[in-house]
Amino acid sequence: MTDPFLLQVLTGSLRSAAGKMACVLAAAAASPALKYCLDCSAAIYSPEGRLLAVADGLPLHPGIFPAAVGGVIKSYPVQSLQQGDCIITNDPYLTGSPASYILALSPVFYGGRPLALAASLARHSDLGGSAPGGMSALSVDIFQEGIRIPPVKIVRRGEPSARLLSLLTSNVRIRDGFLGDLRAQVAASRSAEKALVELAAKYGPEKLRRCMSEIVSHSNRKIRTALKGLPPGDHRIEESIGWNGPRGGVLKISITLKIAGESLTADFTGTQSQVAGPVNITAEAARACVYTAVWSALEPGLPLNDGVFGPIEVTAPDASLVGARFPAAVALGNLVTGRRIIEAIYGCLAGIRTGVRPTAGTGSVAVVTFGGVDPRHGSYYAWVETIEGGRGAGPHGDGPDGGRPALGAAAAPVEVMEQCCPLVVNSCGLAGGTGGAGKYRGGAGVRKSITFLEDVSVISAAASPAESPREPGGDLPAGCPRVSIRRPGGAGEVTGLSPGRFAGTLEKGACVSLETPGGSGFGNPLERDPEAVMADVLEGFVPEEEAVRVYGVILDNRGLRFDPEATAGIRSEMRKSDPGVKERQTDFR
Amino acid sequence: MDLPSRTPAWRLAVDTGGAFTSGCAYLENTGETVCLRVPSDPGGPAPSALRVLAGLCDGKGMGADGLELIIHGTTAADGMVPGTAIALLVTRGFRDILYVGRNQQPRFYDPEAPQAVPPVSRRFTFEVDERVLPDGQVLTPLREHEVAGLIPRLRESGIRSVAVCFLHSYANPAHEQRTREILSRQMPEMPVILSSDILPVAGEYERACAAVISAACRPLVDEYLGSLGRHLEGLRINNSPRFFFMQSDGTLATSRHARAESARIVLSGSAGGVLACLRLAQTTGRPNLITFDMGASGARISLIIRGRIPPVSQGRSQGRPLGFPSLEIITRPVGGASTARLDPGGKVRVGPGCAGSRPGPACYGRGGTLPTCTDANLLLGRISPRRDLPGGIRPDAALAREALEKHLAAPLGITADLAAREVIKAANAVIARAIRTITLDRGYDPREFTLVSFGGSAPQHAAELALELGIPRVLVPRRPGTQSALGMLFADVHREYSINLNIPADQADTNEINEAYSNLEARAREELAAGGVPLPRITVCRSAVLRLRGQGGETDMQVPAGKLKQADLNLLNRAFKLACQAECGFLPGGAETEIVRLKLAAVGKTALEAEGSRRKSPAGPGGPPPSPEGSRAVVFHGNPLETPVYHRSALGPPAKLKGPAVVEEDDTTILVWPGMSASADLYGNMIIEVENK
Repeated sequence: MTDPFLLQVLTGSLRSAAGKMACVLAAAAASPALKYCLDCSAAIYSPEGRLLAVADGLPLHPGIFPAAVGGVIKSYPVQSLQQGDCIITNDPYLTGSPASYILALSPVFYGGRPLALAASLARHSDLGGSAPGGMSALSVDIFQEGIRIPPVKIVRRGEPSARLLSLLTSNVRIRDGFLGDLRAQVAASRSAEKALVELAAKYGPEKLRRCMSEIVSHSNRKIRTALKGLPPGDHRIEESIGWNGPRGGVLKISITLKIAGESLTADFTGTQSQVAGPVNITAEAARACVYTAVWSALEPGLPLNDGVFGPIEVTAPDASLVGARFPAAVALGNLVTGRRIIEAIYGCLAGIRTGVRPTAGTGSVAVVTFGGVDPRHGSYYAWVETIEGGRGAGPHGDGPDGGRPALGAAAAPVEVMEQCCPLVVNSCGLAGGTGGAGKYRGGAGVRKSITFLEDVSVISAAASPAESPREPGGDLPAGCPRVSIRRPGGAGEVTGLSPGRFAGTLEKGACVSLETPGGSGFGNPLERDPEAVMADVLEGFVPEEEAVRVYGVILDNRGLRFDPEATAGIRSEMRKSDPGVKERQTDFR
Repeated sequence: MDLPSRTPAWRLAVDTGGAFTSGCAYLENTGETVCLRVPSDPGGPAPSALRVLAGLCDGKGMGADGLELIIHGTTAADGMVPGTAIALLVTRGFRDILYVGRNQQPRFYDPEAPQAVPPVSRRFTFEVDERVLPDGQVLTPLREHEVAGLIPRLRESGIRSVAVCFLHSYANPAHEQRTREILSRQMPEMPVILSSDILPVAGEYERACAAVISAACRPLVDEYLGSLGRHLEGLRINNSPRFFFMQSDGTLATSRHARAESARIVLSGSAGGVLACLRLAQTTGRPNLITFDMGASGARISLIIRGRIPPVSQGRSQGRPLGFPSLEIITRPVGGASTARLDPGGKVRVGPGCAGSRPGPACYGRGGTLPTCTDANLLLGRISPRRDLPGGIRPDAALAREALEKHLAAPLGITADLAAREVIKAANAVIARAIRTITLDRGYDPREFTLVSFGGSAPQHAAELALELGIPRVLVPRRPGTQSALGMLFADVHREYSINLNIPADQADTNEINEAYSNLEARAREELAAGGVPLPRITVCRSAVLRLRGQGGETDMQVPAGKLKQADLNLLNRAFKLACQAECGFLPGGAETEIVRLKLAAVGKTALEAEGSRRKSPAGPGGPPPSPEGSRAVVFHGNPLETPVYHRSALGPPAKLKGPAVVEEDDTTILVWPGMSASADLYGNMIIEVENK
């Protein structure tokens, strides 16, 4: 048994090495998605493909990685690899991510023997497919989502494969960006290689390998203990997502969480079959969602590695929404379906563990992709924008405002967006008056308005909970994200066929406005602290007339003070006339 | 020949904290340092600095006339942001620039993570009609009367400073500059900070944050310079001393730059201590140090690895980007005057509340009723009940006992002594976790480090922490209470200048580049000289930022001095391509190099070569062991142990003493646990060996 201090040091070293990979990747990257949004992750694996350490980053990736790495080393057994090799693949059925994400894997050797694998998963700005950016809501099969690269050796002993690169760059819209991002991934692998070789030199490769094994066992023991601490039993979760993409509908997901002793099974039996639109996820991705949710809910401080996955079983029916069968489209699956699964399982487990369900997210998200040729330099640009809505309030406080991605990558600065695409962002900010009323106010939604300076093809779609979130006491229906288009030449406002949905080409000068709804409120608005209502009015989150009509708070004519007597008076009257009724806000403004 | 008697020249470094202010004076001719620590003035950093100055001049005989240079660092700036009323002016449509910011979640899925509070609320954010495009072109001209129309509202809101952040102002600052002109004409006293001055790069959230934080700190810097300037004038000093400010990254800024870009000083208070430790690493030959500074209001921990301070990172304060680099220091609100309470779960927690110096810990007898770490240490016998605490306060153990009894012991149903033990355990737990984060989590083994402890409170906690974390030895420098101020004397003035080029390398014109560098150099020398750095002490170092066209990833390449010829540029391009190759192993054919930016780093050598009075004392022959002044009961693990009390001056090399022991000095008390041994090295640093074999 190794010295526990040394284990801690090595756990930290491996995690640092993965973190350094992610930094190198972002620093060397070409596209804003990687540089600013950090839509990537980096991890270190044992030569057998077991996750050892991962950099802090996107929640879904660590769970996806194992299957991906396993798939790659099936095609390229580690014994057949050499120092300086790099394998890439973007096959969603292997990586569990949309086709725009490339997994790059390099072996690390020491003393002629394999020591570890360094891997990064990064979103490229365009890998072909029917729409620029590859996240098109219109896709109905995998072929439309981008060129599908099975595991191929793109670098052999430090020499890139010119022919492969040529094949790939002929099929992607943004050649330089692709090459730059790929180079960044390779650079990231090399930085991990350096760090790991240093570790092996310092501690000795045998000791290092032994410690790697013990680090995994340690997390395994800890997660088992955490699971044992939960009351055994079955918990059924039913989720409905309103998907408003071009082949929209209500998506139904069923999960049965079976907690028994030291293990947990997530059984998705009962989930509907896969759909034509790109919101399916593969079984591997479903597994990844469960891993992420369980780890975050039970032991977020625990080093995340293969040991955490051991006691978790996932059953995802074949050809279902969560077990997509080739050639189903999956580009928006993680964004729409995956995140809902994570939220639902996390909420259920947190509820079991602490007795309190966390605040219900609205689950609303709007996604817009657009692209075309930028006449300023004659080459392609592509952009994917996802905006979340405000989140619901809970029993302890107001809901978080929208625009802060809880599951996604960071948002790119408006200035970078304008540098990369021929457009002007007219406005971007929180929408006052959209947070649901209650003792605790729901988070505000987000509004973003863009005017395109050139002809562009735009596809937008949205997802939101199909039914109101089930918190006790607060039951405001969360609205649906909305897209409205104003074409130049005064053709008038055109709203999508159904809220949030649009696909087509827009002329130069067209203006697209995207609005996401606010979150639901919690509790009786008449019980909201009048000081808080006053602050809401001053800050522009609640219109003054709503302060009176819904919250029963009377402000003086400058709005800087509330009148406690008048407020008490009007509130008792409102209670008398409608006891137990909670004021509701309609859809959203 | 009659020589006029002149007051000896000296320089002063002042570190103003919440509860205490320390000053280190360095005499230029003898190399002697004189240090002093006084309780801070509740009025803020400026009156506190004046107190130290007065103390040094009156109490320690320094002549005010000889003061040539003052360096100022502070921990107060970190708290400025929520406190100061700032207004933010933005492009219309972007009122929520600080709300819909680029908040990346640092963890994985964590829906319960608290929402960050923007430093300026919506009601103080005002939109202005103007719009600039990414290339600097104006889409909508600035509506000047709209800006003027804001003035009455700004006046009546009690705003102390204004930050302006318009989109793409890094490409075209004209609108921001005009806005400042309009506001300043009618409100000449109101500081107006432009984002294009502070951080002229793309990324509106970071730029707005940097501008806002600078706007918040500007009144502090102004007030400091104003009061000190007036005071020194009042003393009718012949040549007024030059002022420098410590920056968060361990270098100095001229007062002009500190005023204009006040966010630079936000984390300055911690930086001085780290510099002092760097010197210690060099003089004592211990390259791996964990620096542990614990004062009245907080603890600050950082690392020195292989004799170097780890590379500087993007500064952040309270979760927001500062826009300027800072040293990597972990701060925790656990200090000597931090108050202890029971959390809802019944556990003892220390901080973030702090009693400061007024009312201060309960034992101060100034009306403080909450128990603090100092109270706990007093009750456990670790602090002397008979010595004055800094500031001439005689501690009252009865008051300490009462506070611990009432707030912790009684609710928990334990004795006050046990409660005191719990307070120290709780404080140490926070610090230990921070030390683990900075070592183990990054792959460093604490067993390979020395724990350097300074500040008023650290030496009381250090030995116990070292034992818990496996750190083999503790080093307590001389005059630990004033190390942060001392460290500032080892800082150089640093400033970076740059100009954007964005041209392909093969189209670069050597004349243009040479001229650009000359201009940057001229500006650098002029500004540093005007700031008080003698011209011969200014050196410059040139570099250029290159990247592969369209492929991101910028690399900083050194550029040689002197007039550049085409051959030099070709060499630079080749070197860059080789660096790219080394980074990832290959270079796609046809990749074009682009020169993004020319940079010039100017350094004004102000750092002391060595602390003169840190002379080696000759190691005497082995003499008798030091004799204690007395003894008292001290609680280490369980029951009180009768422990010898020494004065630090008794411990010169090669004297060695065995724990348990208490070593006292003016600044602080050092605890040596049973089983440990302590000695002084040739420089007067005290070394505690934790595992005494």
